[in-house]
Amino acid sequence: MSRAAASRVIPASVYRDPFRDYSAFGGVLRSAIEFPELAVAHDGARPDWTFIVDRSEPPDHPSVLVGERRVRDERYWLWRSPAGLRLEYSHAGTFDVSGDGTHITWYHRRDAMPELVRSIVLGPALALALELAGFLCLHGSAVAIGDSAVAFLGPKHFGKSTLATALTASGARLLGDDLLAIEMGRPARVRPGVASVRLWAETAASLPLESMCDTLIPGVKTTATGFASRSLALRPAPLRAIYMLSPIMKAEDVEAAARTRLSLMEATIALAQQTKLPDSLVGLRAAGTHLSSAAALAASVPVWSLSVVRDLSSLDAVVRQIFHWSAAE
Amino acid sequence: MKTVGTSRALSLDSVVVASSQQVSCDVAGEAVLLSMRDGEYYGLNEVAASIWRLVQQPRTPLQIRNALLEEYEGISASECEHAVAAFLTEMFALNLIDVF
Repeated sequence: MSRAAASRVIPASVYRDPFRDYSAFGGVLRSAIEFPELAVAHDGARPDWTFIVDRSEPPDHPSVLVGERRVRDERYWLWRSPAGLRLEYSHAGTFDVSGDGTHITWYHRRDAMPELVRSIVLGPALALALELAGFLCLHGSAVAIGDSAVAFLGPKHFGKSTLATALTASGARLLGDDLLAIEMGRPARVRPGVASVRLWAETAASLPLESMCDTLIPGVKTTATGFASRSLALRPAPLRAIYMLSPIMKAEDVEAAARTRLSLMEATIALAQQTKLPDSLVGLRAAGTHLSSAAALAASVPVWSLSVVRDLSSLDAVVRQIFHWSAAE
Repeated sequence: MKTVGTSRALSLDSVVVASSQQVSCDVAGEAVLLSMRDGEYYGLNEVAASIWRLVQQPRTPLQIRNALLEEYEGISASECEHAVAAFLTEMFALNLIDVF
C-alpha cells in the first residue's frame, strides 16, 4: 500500500444519531460522535461507557473543587458533586462523568476542536471512569511481546509512542498508547486500550505504518489507526516489564538502549509520577490510592530506567535490544 | 535539638504530627510520601519510615526517640535524638509535619 493510500483523510468529527459502538480499553464505548481512532464494535455487547453530547448548558450541581491543573495556557479543573465528577476545560468545555463511571456527557462548545474533545474523552474522562472501576491508569504506551505486556512510561515527548509503534512494526502487538489501564492483581495486566498511536509527522514518515494500519488522521500529531488485527493485542496481557524512558543524546560509545533496574522505592515513585490523572487534579484521596497502587505494581513487576538514544536512526537497535531482553526473561 | 527559622520552633517538648496535606505508603519497610503542597515525592529509609509511622499520631520528639530506642538496638539515646531531630527538622521545613 502506498503512503498516499494510507493517508485517507477523516472528516474532523461527525455527530451521529443513532450512537455507534467502539472497542476501547477492553470494553465498549457507545458514542454520539465518531471516533476514527477506535475500531467499531460489531458484537452488540452492552456498552461499558456511553458518551453523550448535550447542547444545553451544564447543570449547576452543588460541587466541591477537587483539584486543578495548568498546562501552558490551558487550565482544567475537577469537581465532585452528588451526580459524579465534572472535568472543566478552558479550551473544550465541560465533561461530566456519572458517579458509576458509565456515562460521560460533554456540554457542546462550538469553538472546541474535535480532536481535543476526542482526546479528552479517550484520555482523562475515560481514565476517571476506569479509576472508578478500580483500574490504575498510567501515562504510557504498551505492546505485547509473545503473551506478555511491556509498558513504556514517561512524560510527553519522551518517545513512548514512537517506541511502541516501532516494536509493533517489528512483530510486537500494540496494546495501547497514551493511556494504559492496568488491572491490579498478580499478575497485573494491561487492558487493550485505544488501537491507534499519535506521532509527530517526522516520526510517522520514518516508520512503516503502511504495513500495519490503513488510516492516518492529520492533526497536531498524526494519528495512525486502522491497525491490522495481527498488529493488535486484543486481550489483556500480563505485565512483564515496565520501562521508564530516559532519552539521551546520540554520542560515540553510547549504547542505543541501556537499562537499570529501579529499587522498590524508586519504582514506586516513578510509577506514581506517571499516573494519567495528575495528583494536583484528582486531590489527596485519589493521590493516596495512586501511590498505594504504584507500590503494589512496583512490588510485582520489574521497573527499569531505560536510556534510549533520541535519534530515529537508532530506533532499530533499540527495538532489537528490547526484543532481546524480552526473550531472555 | 536544632530549631529552624519558622514561626513555631521545634523542640523536645513540641508536639508534632504528619501534615494533612500529604499521603504516604509503606514500601517493604521503607516509605514513600507525596506532599500535596508542592507535588514532590519523598523516599524514606527504614528509620525515617519508622519515625514517619510514629508521627501519624501527635507525639513529642522525646516520645519518638524513646519509641525508636525500643525498636532499634545498638543506638545510643543521643544518636537517636540527633536522628529524630534531623528528620523532623527536614520534614518541618518541607511542611510535611505540623508542630504545636
